[in-house]
Formats: sequence, C-alpha cells, structure tokens
Amino acid sequence: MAAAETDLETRLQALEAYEQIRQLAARYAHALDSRDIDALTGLFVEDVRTADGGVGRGALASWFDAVLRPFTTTFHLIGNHIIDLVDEQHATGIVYCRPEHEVGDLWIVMPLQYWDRYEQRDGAWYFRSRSIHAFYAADVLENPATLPGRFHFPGNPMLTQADLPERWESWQRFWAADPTADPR
Amino acid sequence: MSTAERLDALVSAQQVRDLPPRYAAAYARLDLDELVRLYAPDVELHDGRRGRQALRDHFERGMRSTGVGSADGGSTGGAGLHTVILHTGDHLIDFAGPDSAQGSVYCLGEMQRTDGSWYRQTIIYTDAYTRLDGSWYFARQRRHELVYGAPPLTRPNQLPAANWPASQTGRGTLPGRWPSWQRFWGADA
Repeated sequence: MAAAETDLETRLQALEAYEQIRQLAARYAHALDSRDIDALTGLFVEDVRTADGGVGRGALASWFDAVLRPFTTTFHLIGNHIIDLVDEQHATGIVYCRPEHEVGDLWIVMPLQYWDRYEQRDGAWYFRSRSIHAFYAADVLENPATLPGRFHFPGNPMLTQADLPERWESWQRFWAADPTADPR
Repeated sequence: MSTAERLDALVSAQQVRDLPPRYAAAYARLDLDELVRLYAPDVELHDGRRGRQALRDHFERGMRSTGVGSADGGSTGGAGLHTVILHTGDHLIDFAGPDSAQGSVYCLGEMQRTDGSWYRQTIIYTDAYTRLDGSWYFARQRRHELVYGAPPLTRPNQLPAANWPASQTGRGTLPGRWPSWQRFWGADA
C-alpha cells in the first residue's frame, strides 16, 4: 500500500512537472513579445548564467535588454514541445518556434528550435538555460534559397547563422552514407 | 492540496487547453452551434449582451462579412469567410480557483474570403474560463487583439492601423498596448 502511494505521488509529480514546464514555454513567448523583462527573467533559475558570462536574473535582464533593442514588434508562435524528465529536479526539452520580427523595413521570419534545460526549485520549475537553433531567417518577401547561408537578419546581436539541420549528427550521418547525394 | 485536488487541477488544465483548438476547429467548419457550445450559457459579450444566441448572431455576422474598409487594396471588404485556418499555440493558463481560470493564446490565422482573396493575421486572445457541472467553458467573449493583419506576400510594417474589426488587415493594438512594452521603450512617461 505504501509503495503504491509512493508510486502514485511520483506519477502525480511527473504530470505536474509536464504541466508547469509546458507553461514555461508559453510564458516565455508572452513575456518576450510584451518586453516584460522582469517576467521573462523570473522564468529562469535565480543563478542563471548568461551567454556573456554573467550570473543571475539581473545580469540576464541586462543581456535581454541589449538583445531585444534591434527589433520592434515580435510574435513568437510556439509548438511541438517535447519534455524529457531526467529526475525529480531536472528536465530537458525542445520547443519549435516560428517567430516574426519587425526589423526596420523588413519583416523577418526565423523558424527555430529552442534546446532547453529545466530545473525545479522549491516546488516550481524554471529554465536553467535556453539555446536557439535556427533553420533559416528570411524577410516575408524573400526566398530563403537565395540568401547566403539562408540567413538574413541584419543587426541580430544574438544569432548570426542558421545551424539546423547541419548541426544534427544523425543528419550528417544520413548524408555521409551517400556523399554524392549531399544536397548542400 | 490533496491528491484528488491535484488530479482535478491536472484534468482541468487539459480541458482548458482544449478550448482554443476546439474553437479553431468549430470556426473552420463554420459550425455556429458547436462554436457557442464552447461558451458558458450566460456568456457575456463585449457590448454587455449575454447568452449563446447573442454570441451566435455575432459570429454569424463576422462569418458572412469580413468588414469593409480593408487596407489590402484590391480584395473587397464585405465578402464572407470561405477558409479559416486558426493555428493556435502559446496557451498560458492561470487558475484563480478550482472552477475559474484566465488565459492567453497566440494564433496565426490564414483566411480566404468568399471572393477568393486571402489574408493572414497574428492574434493574441485573452480568455476567461469557468467550470460548470464538471465541464470547462469560455466564460466571456474572447478578447481578440491583433498584432497585424496582412494580405499574402505583404510586409506588415507600413500598413495603416487596422482598427479591427473595421478592417481585417493593418497594424493592430499589440504590442503597443502592453504597459510592459511601453516601459521597455520608455514611452510610459
């Protein structure tokens, strides 16, 4: 009986973890598009590390502030959220996003994946880290095939190239098996 | 929370999450009865009217005419809806109690009018949900805020204000209406 109750508690906690982590991704998009930096940084663990070597939500707020100035309107539509629970305090995930950015006179679409790590602190789940991996970036009037590196996003301080699908080892292996068919 | 309450909250979250996709599917089929069944029977409309019949009338008007004064020069305002693709995501849900919640939902819409013209819209819905007799419903008319609407192969940047629902295309009320947006750009002084 006691074992069954423990099992039930474990399964309930897993469902609650999935639910909270799914919410993290939605809250991130809302906070980002509304430029609510406090809400955005509050989604991360308090000892979050920034890409430029800082630590903490204050450092992350400064980092986001600089990163978000080069564009005005943004719209981050997400989906395809995969969540893998590692243990009771850790999880990893992948989220697809098809964000649109107003960049001066351009309107840039940049389909991407977020590669996430989540961590539970005091019963609540947070982002430990998010990294961005783009498939391409192109203005709505542009054909990605005509863009160098299929990437046109002037002034983006965070991302300068599209690294998917080439970054995937399985993708490399697939085409390495038949080099003559390499589409690149 | 007890185990039963925690399970109940998880089931509620799933049922609430289903509402926007159900709305999208019913809207695409132009199934007015199915659409208004997603709302509480005493649903409140923006104009203060109440009830599913008033909401049904509202939806039917919107489906039969997409409004006049479209900013997409060429396609006629006034034509009804032929194809409605509402792709929703980003569903943020906050529970106020076991039977009440609020939420916000992103939507990328692609629509074709009965005159053949297409437009796309980026929309953020703000919702209230209520549980009645064990089922979750939209508690009030969904607040629909446009980021932009645009004809195909058109940059939204230079479009005039849509003043939705007067026009389906043009710049919307977001992101400018968000207080956090104004603070970020220092425009709240």
